[in-house]
Amino acid sequence: MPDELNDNSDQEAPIPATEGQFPELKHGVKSSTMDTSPIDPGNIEVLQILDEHGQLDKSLDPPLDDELLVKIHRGLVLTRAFDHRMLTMQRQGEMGTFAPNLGQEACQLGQVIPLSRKDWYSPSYRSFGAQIWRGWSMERLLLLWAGYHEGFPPPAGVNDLPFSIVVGSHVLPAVGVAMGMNYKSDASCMVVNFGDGALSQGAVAEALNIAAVNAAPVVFVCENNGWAISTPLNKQAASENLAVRGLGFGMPSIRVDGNDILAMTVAVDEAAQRARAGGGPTFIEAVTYRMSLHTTADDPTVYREEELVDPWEERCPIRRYETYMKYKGLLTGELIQKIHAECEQEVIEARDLFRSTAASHPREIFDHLYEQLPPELEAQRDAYLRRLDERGGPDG
Amino acid sequence: MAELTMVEALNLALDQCMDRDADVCLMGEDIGINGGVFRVTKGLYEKYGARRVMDSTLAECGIIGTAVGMAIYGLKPVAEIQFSGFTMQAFDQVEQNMARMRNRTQGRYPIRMVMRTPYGGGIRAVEHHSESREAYWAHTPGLKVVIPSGPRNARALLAASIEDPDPVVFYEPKAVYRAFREEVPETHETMPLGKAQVVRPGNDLSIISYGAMMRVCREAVDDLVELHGIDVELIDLLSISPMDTQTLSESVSRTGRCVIVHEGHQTCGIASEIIARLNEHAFEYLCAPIRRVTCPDIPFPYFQTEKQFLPDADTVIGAVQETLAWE
Amino acid sequence: MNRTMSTDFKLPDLGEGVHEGQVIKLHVRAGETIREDEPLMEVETDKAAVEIPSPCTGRVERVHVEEKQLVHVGDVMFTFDTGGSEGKSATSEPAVTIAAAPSTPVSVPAPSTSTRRKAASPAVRRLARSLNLSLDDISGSGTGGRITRSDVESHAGTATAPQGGGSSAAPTGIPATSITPVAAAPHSPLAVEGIEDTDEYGAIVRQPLSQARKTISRVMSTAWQTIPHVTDCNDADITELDCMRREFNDPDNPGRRLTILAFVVRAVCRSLQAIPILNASLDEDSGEVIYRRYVNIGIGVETERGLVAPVIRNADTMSVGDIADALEIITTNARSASFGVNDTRGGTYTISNAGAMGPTRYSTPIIQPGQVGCLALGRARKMPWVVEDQVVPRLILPLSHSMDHRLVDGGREIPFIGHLIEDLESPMRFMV
Repeated sequence: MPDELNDNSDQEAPIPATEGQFPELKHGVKSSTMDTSPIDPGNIEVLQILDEHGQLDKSLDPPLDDELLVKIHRGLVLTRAFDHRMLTMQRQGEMGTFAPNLGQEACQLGQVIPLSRKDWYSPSYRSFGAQIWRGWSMERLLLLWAGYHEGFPPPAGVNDLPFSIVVGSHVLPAVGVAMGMNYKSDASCMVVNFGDGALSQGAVAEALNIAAVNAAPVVFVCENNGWAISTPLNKQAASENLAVRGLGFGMPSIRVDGNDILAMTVAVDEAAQRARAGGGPTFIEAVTYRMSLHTTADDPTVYREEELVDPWEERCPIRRYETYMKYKGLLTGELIQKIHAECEQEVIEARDLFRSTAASHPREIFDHLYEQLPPELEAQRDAYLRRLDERGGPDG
Repeated sequence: MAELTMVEALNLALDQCMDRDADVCLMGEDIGINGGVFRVTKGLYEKYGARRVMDSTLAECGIIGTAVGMAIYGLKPVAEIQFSGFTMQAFDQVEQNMARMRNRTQGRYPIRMVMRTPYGGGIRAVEHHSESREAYWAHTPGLKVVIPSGPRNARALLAASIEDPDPVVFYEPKAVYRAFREEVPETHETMPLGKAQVVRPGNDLSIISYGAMMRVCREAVDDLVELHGIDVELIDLLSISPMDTQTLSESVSRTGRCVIVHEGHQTCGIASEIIARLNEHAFEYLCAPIRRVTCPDIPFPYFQTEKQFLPDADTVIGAVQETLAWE
Repeated sequence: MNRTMSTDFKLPDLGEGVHEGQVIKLHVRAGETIREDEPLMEVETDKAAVEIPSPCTGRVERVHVEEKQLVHVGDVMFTFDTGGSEGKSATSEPAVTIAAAPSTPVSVPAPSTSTRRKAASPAVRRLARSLNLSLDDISGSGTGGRITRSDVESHAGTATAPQGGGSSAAPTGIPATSITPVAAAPHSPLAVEGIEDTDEYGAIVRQPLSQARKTISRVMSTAWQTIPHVTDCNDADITELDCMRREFNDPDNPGRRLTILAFVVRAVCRSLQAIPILNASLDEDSGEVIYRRYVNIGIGVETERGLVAPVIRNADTMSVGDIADALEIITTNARSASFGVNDTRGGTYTISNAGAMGPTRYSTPIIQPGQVGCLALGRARKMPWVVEDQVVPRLILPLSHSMDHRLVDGGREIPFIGHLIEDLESPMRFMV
């Protein structure tokens, strides 16, 4: 599948699109297009800069410098290569259960491209592309998903929160961090990412409300990929779209084509600037599609027809961006192939490094529970360590 | 030394901690302008302002979740949940994040916060305003659970909890909030967490209790000592987790007999943990089975039958006498 | 350079509790070559249909499975010839999911009354243990027949002593005299039978001496007056012996219990064999020392008639287990005082387990006429002791050994006691 999507060597010139025609988004129905007409109540703006054919709305083309644009492309390609490698490793028995993010690369990266090191990021469990951009090594992410506790701490200097396996439980702490920024008059912001399913959680509603009431510097990115395991969007929400929810809590809200890296970057950047300047939270509904499984233990063919997925092949975020980059004269077909191969190589090297170093130390599992272990736990740990010693085996 | 009620003592602790450390902040429903429904935070909003004393939306889960975030950021939040019965709505945030964030991030994000809440019955309150569920928190790895019994130890323990590097669930026995006054020193005072206090030394039998039940036990002990000539040792647990196993086992090893008194339900209540530990550390010295005096395993009744539901001095005396008579 | 390297590829753990699946499609046949990550096969589990990519590059030597076959995690699917090339060996151990066995509830049958343990609180059991008493020997006066502290203490022959109270002073004279003081207030009626009378000071009760008492009185007097007694007081560290004793389990005699006394008897026999003068007799009339080749150990026991010393004949030929059995019989008979005259004759040496009756430590045991030595055991207790320059709690058994100084000098007695103590302190030595 990846090869087909990336084979755009015959597309040297952008294909002109018909005026005003955008893909419509209605999930659970055979064909999907993105509706750009204004919605009552309020006017939820819909932002798309780069359409699926790679056609650019020049008036909205963000002034990003060439170096960044190239880095973005690499980030997209690396994310997909890493995701694919993780899946392969899982099927080969080397990796635990995880949530692939095929098709959602632009949505993820767009959330973190506008952020500085001082800003904070609270990812979902599917956002490892964004985590790599933020400074997590691929090797650390492999350790994490393969069940080694050494993979879990965010790297030094990276102000990231851990993701939450309990869906939506990370959003409140993310808002709390942002409230901390207000407390300390810290002109930074927090971007927190969650899915369409998470938005149904009461805790997330509380988080939105608290952020709005307290003008917390948060950017809420609701990554609407159309599915919460087997629950399609129209069974998850009755509202016309998800962006109105943010509006309902009293914050500026926008709907963005999540597969358009430029739109994502621009929208998040604007929201981040608003937050840093004390303007409070923003709600961004980023529309994308979960091209793959919920997790590696899932079989979407049970509940989802392939025909629903097919149109989204056309909307691949990487393909349209490569068209854009060629249009900008920053990439050629040959260079693109080279970058793909280089990214694959980087991923292989990370895998090999992971293979040679992965080892969790069972002696450490009592560490980091309290600052200092209370006596009862010391006794339990001593008994545990004695058992370890008696049984021998790998000394963690 | 001034004589303060528990409410005044808690207020003193909060005030002094906020004064000493600019990162200490308060949040909760109605704690700001209103000073808290029990007035524990009275005057602090006026003194420290809205930035440091935050009135929250009506969202217990939200209060605790955002407090966790503030602690991740490096502040020291003291979050009030108006009644302990409402902490259940925050259970996911306590269990998932407050208790486990340090462990999940391998020490990168320790959580220095306090969740304080009034608990327990005896004030003729409406439903869900009288529960005693400290067992839930004691069973959660990563938390500390502290329960004072009087003004002085409430002040000292709250200050210690705020200064503690780990997350603390601080249960305030509301029946004691204004029940009596005690001398509380003006200067900042703390008590170590994880230590029980021998309130009255004795040799015939050990009574172990905490919270509002300490008053009930003191009444029973007076009776037992003066009228029945029984040399009772009375221990105030103070910290449910970590628990001072050493003091308890030293006492019961010496006296050989023990009665445990608490409000929480019988099954899987804190007494069962104490008995398990005494079984491990003092078994050989037991002269009689360890008795527990608790509330039965039914929901806290509507307040007309509250008195009969809660343990009282007579119940405790009866249990002590039966334990002594056991041969 | 054409090495072959065969590697097996086993079905990996596909996660979330899946442990088996059905082969849907095989993408390769034996003999074909394949590259790493190319699809190998499709397996259907109850969660999903999963495509498995090749773990290595090489030639498929063998395909071990067929389409439609049911396979389990860990089963070998393929064998590859990787020709020594780079590439991950396909034999990473998959984690085999083991289905948890359902826990079968274990119902514990209520013990039948005949085999039910004696009921007693932990503190009471501890007390009994420290007195070398078995709960089986004690009848309970508590609720439901429970053994109480006072049951244990009166069985041991002392008053209800306070817990952890100090030991009472060692009684002088005959350790076998058990004192059961009656808490008598002044002028309250004495619980003794006899003739009520008065003397010049007040009321008295006259009780005629029993025959047994007369005999004991005479024998004790003679012994004390004719035998120059020297008593050597000592201690033996029986911590290890006690451990051994507790852990002892005779598969041939599951009911057999060993007491410290049984070990002491055995050790004494060995010491008597080493220093035979202590097993001898002095005949002043004929001017002879009579050494005995046999060792008959008298055991001082308290009966309702008074002190008696039934004899274990040829104790030197008996194992500790046999000695224990013999002691058991003696104890049983002592209760019913059913010793015959011959039971008490022929002793060559006497041991008295005074410590069983109460907190006695050292005493001056009186030697049986015809013998030259008598050993009294005090009550074993935990004491601070120096072991390898550390002060540690150890179980210490007091020993009081009287010798007849007409025949036995310190030069014989001291090595005798030394030998005995060495045995008791290194019990493995004398188990042989």
